[in-house]
Amino acid sequence: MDTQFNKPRTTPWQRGRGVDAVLGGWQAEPAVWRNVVLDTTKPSVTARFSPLPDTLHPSLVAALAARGIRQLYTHQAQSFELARAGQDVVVATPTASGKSLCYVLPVLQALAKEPEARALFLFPTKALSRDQEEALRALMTEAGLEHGAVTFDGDTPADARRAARERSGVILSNPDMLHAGVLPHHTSWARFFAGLKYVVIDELHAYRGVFGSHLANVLRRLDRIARFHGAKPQYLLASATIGNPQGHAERMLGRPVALVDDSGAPQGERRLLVYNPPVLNAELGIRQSYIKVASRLTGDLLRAGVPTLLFGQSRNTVEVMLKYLRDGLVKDRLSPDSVHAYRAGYLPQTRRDIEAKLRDGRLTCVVATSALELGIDVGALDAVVCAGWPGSVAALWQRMGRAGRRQGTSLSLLVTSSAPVDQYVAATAQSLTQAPIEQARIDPDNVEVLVQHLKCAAFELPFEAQEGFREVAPPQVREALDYLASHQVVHPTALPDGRTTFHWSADAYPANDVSLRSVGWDNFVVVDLSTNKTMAEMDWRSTHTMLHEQAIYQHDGRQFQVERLDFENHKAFVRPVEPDYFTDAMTYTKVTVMTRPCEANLPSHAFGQGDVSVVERVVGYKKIKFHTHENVGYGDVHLPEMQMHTSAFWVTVPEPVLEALSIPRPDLLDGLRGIGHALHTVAAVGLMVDPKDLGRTVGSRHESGTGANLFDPTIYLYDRMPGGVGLASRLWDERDGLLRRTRELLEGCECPDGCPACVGPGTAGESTRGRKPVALALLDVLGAPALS
Amino acid sequence: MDFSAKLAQLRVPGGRAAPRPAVASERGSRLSELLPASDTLDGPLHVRTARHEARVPCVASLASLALDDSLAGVDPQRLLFLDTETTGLAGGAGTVPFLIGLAFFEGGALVVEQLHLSAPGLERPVLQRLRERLERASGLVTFNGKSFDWPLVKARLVMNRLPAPPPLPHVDLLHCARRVFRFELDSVRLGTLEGHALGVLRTGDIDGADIPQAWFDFLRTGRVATLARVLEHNAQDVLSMAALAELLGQAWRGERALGPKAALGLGTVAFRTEAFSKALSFALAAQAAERGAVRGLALELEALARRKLGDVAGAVRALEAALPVHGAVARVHLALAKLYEHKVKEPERALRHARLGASAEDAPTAWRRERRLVKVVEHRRGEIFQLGGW
Repeated sequence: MDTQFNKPRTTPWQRGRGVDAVLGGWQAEPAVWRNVVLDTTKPSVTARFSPLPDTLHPSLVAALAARGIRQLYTHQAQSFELARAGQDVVVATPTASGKSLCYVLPVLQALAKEPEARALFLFPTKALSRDQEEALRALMTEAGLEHGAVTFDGDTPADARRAARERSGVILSNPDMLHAGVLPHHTSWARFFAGLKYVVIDELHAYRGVFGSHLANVLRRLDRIARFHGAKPQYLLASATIGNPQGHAERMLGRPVALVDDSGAPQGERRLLVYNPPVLNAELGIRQSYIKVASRLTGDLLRAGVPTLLFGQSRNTVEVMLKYLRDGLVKDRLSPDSVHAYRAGYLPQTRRDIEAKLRDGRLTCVVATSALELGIDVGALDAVVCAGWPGSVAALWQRMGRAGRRQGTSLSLLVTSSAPVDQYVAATAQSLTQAPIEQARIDPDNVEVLVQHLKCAAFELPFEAQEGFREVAPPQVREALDYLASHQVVHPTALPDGRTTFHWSADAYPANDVSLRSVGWDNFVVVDLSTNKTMAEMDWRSTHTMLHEQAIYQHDGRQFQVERLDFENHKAFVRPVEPDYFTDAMTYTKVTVMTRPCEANLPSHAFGQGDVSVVERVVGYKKIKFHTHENVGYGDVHLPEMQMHTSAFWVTVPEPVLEALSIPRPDLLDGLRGIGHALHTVAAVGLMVDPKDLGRTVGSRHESGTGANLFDPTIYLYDRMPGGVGLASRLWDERDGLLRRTRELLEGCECPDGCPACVGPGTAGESTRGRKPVALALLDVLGAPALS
Repeated sequence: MDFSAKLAQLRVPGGRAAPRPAVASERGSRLSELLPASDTLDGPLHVRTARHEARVPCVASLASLALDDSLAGVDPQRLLFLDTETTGLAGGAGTVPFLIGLAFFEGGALVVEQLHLSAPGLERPVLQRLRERLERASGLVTFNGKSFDWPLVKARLVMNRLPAPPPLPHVDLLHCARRVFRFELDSVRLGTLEGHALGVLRTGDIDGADIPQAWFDFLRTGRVATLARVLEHNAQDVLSMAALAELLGQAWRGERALGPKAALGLGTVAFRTEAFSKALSFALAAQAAERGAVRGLALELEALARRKLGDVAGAVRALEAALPVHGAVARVHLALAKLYEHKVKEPERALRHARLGASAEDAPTAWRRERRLVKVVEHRRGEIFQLGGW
């Protein structure tokens, strides 16, 4: 803290340097500071050490000493002891707290003691395994271990593969390779599996949703194959901060896992600011561009010589902010070379260069997508700026964790956009530091996923009739196998001794048909016809609503009209226009409930959760006039429909409850849509999901009747992943708080009649009432009364 | 929704809905119509045995063609031929050989022994018998077995917790045949070779792509009609392998002419194995009827062989003859340049050929060669001049 006596001296003709100077400057300027909705400080933490464990192999002691390590942080020592005691361990400590050593030491200890011991390291990306390979090899060489560490992935040359299988002590790979390249060929890996002592999974938090559910099943297969070869590997997991590292790890492994989350690493003081750009157009809820604001504030840091990391949400925003920053530097006659972009897709050498330049100070600022979240080593920086809510508290802390010098103050700054979720975060910024960190969710028993992996498992090793699939009980496995047998992909054989075994019996390699990452739906690119340049990318789903032909596509405050959508080649061609309207796609979404395992009937409404079929199709669009919100026209859209089976959570308001309110029915339904909009925002924020992962619609509780003839109107929130990843059941668990938090969102929003940040744009022009008052009236009836 | 209901809703996972498979006992009995079952310690073993006339191949020849010395000393009487029919071509732990065709010499005849799986999971009797045959064998002969059949056999032994097979010298006839027929066949498959060189004509042979389905159909229905065709196909494969081994051996020993292109292939192998006289005679045979590229290569090979045999003049003659017909003239010039420089000691000629052959080697080497020759030539001219002046 600065006092009268140690206050840094500044000279008037010199621009202030360092974080404190920048903060002082912002604070002194009301136009800036009044937009700061949160300013809080996390105190510094001093290091806690443990001596090197007595049992640590002398060669490792020597290797560590060569790096100047003579003691461990407490969490590193704790992990080592737990691993030595034979436990599966998950380490969940902050970024840059020395997590790698937590799993590397036990592994090297095993290698040092047993020449036949083997370890498998899994990373979510190829780049990460290459990075770790280098570091690990260096340490192994220093420790005199001759086992070798080899990356085994799609890029590994054929001759190196054989050597890797037969001799390498550590194999570094990714789940996809394990799934399709190693397990199906496990007989060639017999020696490796027989010696498999440890499986390390780094970046555990990255494996959530469908990807995580797949990985859990790949690990079920891995355990099964290791058992066949006589091994029972121990798991060492490392996760960034998430709400449930232990729960997540235990779900992933299907058994108890010891948790290490008390970091002994030191941390300097951290200042956290949330900056909400001011409103430019209250009616439309349009705020000053967060991209420009984030670039400007980062520019201040840059000029003060503060090493800064600026995170954008997409490649496109990264490029835009990079341009703004460089333009600003040129204007100030500074070298634009002190800023660089960093994203996935860069060549390893380029990334290595950037990392090195950041460390030695030749580079002051890096603008990045989330690529940096995944453990790339850039050292600690003085400031992190996050342009836009990264989707979850956990992701926010992962990004902010990059700021944190061991001494002195570091700055973490979040600049919120005008998106509903961002505005919700801004409105509740004061509770951000206490906000529960989201939990990573997986559903390894999702039938669709499970059955795919049972096929792969049957290919790898026949199933016994009474065999379970790790924690999947034998009767269920048997049922699935009978199902697969009825589809002729496995064959039951009655053995002479009376047992029955199930054998893969198809001329196919099942792992090839199972992709662990369901990102098959490629992005569309948006091409500006006036410049012939690609200006943005959009995911497959949003393309339907935002890039249909004739749509007004808004980009960085400018409007473009979509002239042609080349659905086959994933391109949308747009041209800049200056319309007095924007378009709003009308999506026909039909949810059909198939099962209702959970239902709770209250006097005013009912909650439910179960499996549903969802059909989505964009059928047309409305032209909505700026400022007045008048509906000035319609158009048709012809795009293929999207159908899937998933799970949903719903709120039903029975007809009699609606009728009791003296509000016209169309207004009531519109108000209900408004509640749906707000509920969606609250749910997305609470679930640690991208809002796009959660679909919503208002429809009938019953299968028949959509459109005007609603019968018991129902708000559906559904999982937009085929099969569902458990979002709906979490909403069900938290159903009691949902309406209350929806109310809080509505009341916390300053708009009178509704805006994109709360109830969403209403069908004004058809109704005399605003959407928001109706929604509030409905919430009163639904037992979510006004806050005091 | 419970597990069963969810299962029922799943999309069909790459198969077709079908009636329940036939009962195991029924299957076993029908399979016995094709291959009688004998009881073994590990369960019933379906075997079909047939004796054929065949000559024992010459292992020394095969060793040369396989470029593998370890084969040279093996007992030819105890060679084991192996060919498998499998549930797929993908490989991996889920690919199973359901029919293993073996052939070995016994009492002057070639015994073809086919081992058939009665159901998946009942591999032990088959693998045990295979192991016995492998234990007795001196070497293994396959067609594409190095990359397909043999790794698969090893994988099955691991899967069935049986000890690894004994290490055996292994001739992969695919590789041998490729070396011999590389100048005339684009793809060297056993079926192609049968028509091309072995004079075997198959009628009603099952398409290889249909073989896995024949097995799966048998599993589901118990019907063995298609399996009978697979059995014939496999037996023919094994016999063709034996015939091919014999043919290649004869050709190698010069007891049988396979035409100029094959002679060039054989000659190339001979040269690689440093059998230079043999290479020379194959090279000459290859020149017999051929024009153009093959003739050029044959002349080049003749030159290489002659040079190794010390016949420099003959080598030069062959190369000079190759110049108008060879596809890669620069290479011939380069060879001539080397001969003229080092053996014939005619640097002027060497220099002329070196310049024409420069593109056949890397630039720095070519440049050094030329500079060296220029120096020698100039030096010589100097000498001649001095002599004349005196």
